[in-house]
Amino acid sequence: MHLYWPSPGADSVRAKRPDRPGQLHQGPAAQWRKAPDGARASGVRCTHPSRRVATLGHAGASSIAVNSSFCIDIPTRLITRIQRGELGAFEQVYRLFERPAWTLALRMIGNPEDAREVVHDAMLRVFDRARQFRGDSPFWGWVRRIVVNEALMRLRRDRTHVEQAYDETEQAHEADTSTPAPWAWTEARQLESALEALPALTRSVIWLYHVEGHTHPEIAEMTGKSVSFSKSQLARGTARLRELLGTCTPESPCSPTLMATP
Amino acid sequence: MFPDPDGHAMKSIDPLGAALRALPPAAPPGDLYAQVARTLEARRAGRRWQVPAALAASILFGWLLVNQPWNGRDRSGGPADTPLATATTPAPSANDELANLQDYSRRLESWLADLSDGVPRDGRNLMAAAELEDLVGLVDVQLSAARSASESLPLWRQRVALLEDLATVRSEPFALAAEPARNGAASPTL
Repeated sequence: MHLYWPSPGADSVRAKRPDRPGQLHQGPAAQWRKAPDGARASGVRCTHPSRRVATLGHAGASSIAVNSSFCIDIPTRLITRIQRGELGAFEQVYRLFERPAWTLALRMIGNPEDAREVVHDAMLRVFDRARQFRGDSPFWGWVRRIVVNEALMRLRRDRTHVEQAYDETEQAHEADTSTPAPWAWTEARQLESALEALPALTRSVIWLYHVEGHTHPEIAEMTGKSVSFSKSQLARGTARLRELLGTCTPESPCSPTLMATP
Repeated sequence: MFPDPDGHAMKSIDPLGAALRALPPAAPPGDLYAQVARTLEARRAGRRWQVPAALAASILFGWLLVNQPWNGRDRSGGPADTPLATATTPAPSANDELANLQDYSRRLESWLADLSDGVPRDGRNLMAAAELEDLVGLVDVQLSAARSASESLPLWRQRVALLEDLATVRSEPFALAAEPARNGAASPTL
């Protein structure tokens, strides 16, 4: 059993990322962390394409758009039922979060066996800890944080994952920005293969930053590393992805074996 | 110097984030929920006998405390016939202590895991438990960075102490079960 789970309200969304697609106004995440229960979701909008756009804030209030597949609005009544220990309610919530949780775990961990354990343990923790959820942050953020923590715990358990991450002091090559970024036209499968070729912790940082919208300080806190570590993993991982996909062109697709080379 | 430490400029010309977000979600294995449900059911079944077993263990523990059959003292309170075992036991080495702490920590965690009904219902205890859990997480992070036994030993001591505190906080609902009004247990604090 691991005992590193978020305190309620510990999850947050990016507060200053003007370049995030769909983001509206920015505001400190602490604003809604501290919001009273009645306005707990004020200022949070889900903008993931697979979800309906859910503006959870008051009309006219500044809001933060969240582009995470976790961003699912759960009725308070359902949460209350889980807190009472109702398995039926838990199953409903499980079904809603299974795919986002699985995707996140798989992207971070890299292999389905361990991802399976991560989702299994994380969902049990959601059930066990539901009574500790106080509603001062969105339920989906709380669930996501549990999954992230569980995945990071798994990576820490195997020290090689930590050791394989790029050296913080090692400098990344200057990105060649004169040519178009390869992921602009790379196929999904090729990008996935290139991601899989990265060290797990580096891949996790990239995913948490770009897809889940966490800031470097948040990633540093979650990983137990420094902000500069998070930044360096992002920069070096991005450079490595560029290298891996650099030889790919629409006319000449990438070779999976080439991308598998570390 | 990194190409772009914050990733802001990079994102404007290099929309990696957009490409990653456009990746299709992975399909979870079909039997994953069944496995989770089985685990939950098994734990519920196990819990049916846990409370009676815990009561029986408490009674036995109380009897042992009163009678203390291990130190040879008679019930009239006379002096012990045998010296304390700890007086002749050599001090354990750091590795032994580390192993003992890890074992004890595991047992405490296992006990806490089985105690899902023991979530504090009192607001202050709930906050204390959450804080203790965070502290344990912090110690875990430090442990993951420890490179030697000498570095990890004090951390394991700290971890065990925190788990003991957590066990105290978490077990309070049982102790106060007979006094729900005083504890405010009628409506769980969310």
